[in-house]
Amino acid sequence: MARTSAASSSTTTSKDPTGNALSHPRPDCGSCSASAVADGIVFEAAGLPAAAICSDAFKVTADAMAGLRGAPGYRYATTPHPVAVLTPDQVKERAARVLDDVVALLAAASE
Amino acid sequence: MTEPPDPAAAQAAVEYCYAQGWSDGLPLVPASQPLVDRFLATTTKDPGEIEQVGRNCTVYLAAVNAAMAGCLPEYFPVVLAAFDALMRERAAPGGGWQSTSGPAPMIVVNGPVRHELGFNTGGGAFGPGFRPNATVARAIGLIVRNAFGIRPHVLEQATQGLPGRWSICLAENEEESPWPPFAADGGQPAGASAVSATLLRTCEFVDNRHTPDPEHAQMLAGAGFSKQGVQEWLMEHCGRTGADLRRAGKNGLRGMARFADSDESADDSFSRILPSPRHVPIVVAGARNAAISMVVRIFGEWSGTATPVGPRTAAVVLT
Repeated sequence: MARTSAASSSTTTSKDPTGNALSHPRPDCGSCSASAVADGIVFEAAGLPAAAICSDAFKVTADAMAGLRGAPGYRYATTPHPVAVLTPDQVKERAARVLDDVVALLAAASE
Repeated sequence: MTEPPDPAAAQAAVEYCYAQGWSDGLPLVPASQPLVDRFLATTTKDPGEIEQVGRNCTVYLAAVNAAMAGCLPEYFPVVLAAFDALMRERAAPGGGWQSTSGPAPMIVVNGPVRHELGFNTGGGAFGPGFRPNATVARAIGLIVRNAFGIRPHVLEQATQGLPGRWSICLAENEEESPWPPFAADGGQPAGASAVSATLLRTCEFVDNRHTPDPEHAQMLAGAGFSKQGVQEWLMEHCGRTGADLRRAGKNGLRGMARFADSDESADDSFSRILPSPRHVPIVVAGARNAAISMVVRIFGEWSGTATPVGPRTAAVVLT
């Protein structure tokens, strides 16, 4: 499946300490949010638990992408918009606040 | 005498297109099967051929949208070439259409096809006013909307959008250019009909009409600059000092991210912003009536390739 991240994407992908699940942190633009959800769907289709996180300004586009990728209603975590302006400490605070949702998504995905 | 078409039927057809959600906001030309067939007859491509891997845009769907955009059938090979050229841009198949920055395709047409199809090669290069220039660009926008399903407020998330999005199709003013055509920069032989394209984030005009020589390209060529020489000059001189970057809070660099750093030791350094000629493509366009140029900020870099206008049937050449 074609990757859909834009040139301007601030999206990064990282492995969690167990090495077998992926989270897709802080997409905060139009193309990145949709691609985070698309990637999450691809990962899970490949049997890899995944948790996508989008800022809440992009729920419509994230939901639309989920429908386009054949996974309407795909669940992902949200964090308040904006994200791009946050300091590193503020990002850590956001990560702590969204952690329970990410864990729940990964746990649900691996069930 | 031929009876004029029925306005009420035409209006009903236009409103039908609106009701289907196909329009970019302006009226569409209703695309009947016979009209679409005339478009398909201009290309040797199979109607079922996929124009972009991973997305569902066939040549047939491209023809429907080109017809609705107001193209004449004979423009269709140019639409297909423009689409192909755009897909060579890194951002176009990579989410650029969905971007908050809302970039606009900038399409450049070169070669005999410009005059055969009646493209504007003179003043008002960025439009409006000319059917081929306006409708080829609009066709791309409708393909993105209707074939890819990238619609505003849903998958299309442009924050402000860009004036001129889906309306920029320049035909280079080769006749008054001192340099080889833009398609030659994209690897096409001289005299070839070809289309190049990139995405732009914004543009701003530079008005130097009170300089002694009124035309920038000719003035530069007269001073001994090749196109490549102009690009090299710009690459050398466009940038910011370390002090400028520090004042803007952008002097620190960690990976790809810039941040404010209190260190002033690099204030006298100079950071160049144009890494290659593909970051500063040069097109000669517009009228020879004032020394006004347009500086466009492109979305990353140009692919550096031009797409030949594909084999056209004899019937497509206007008489």
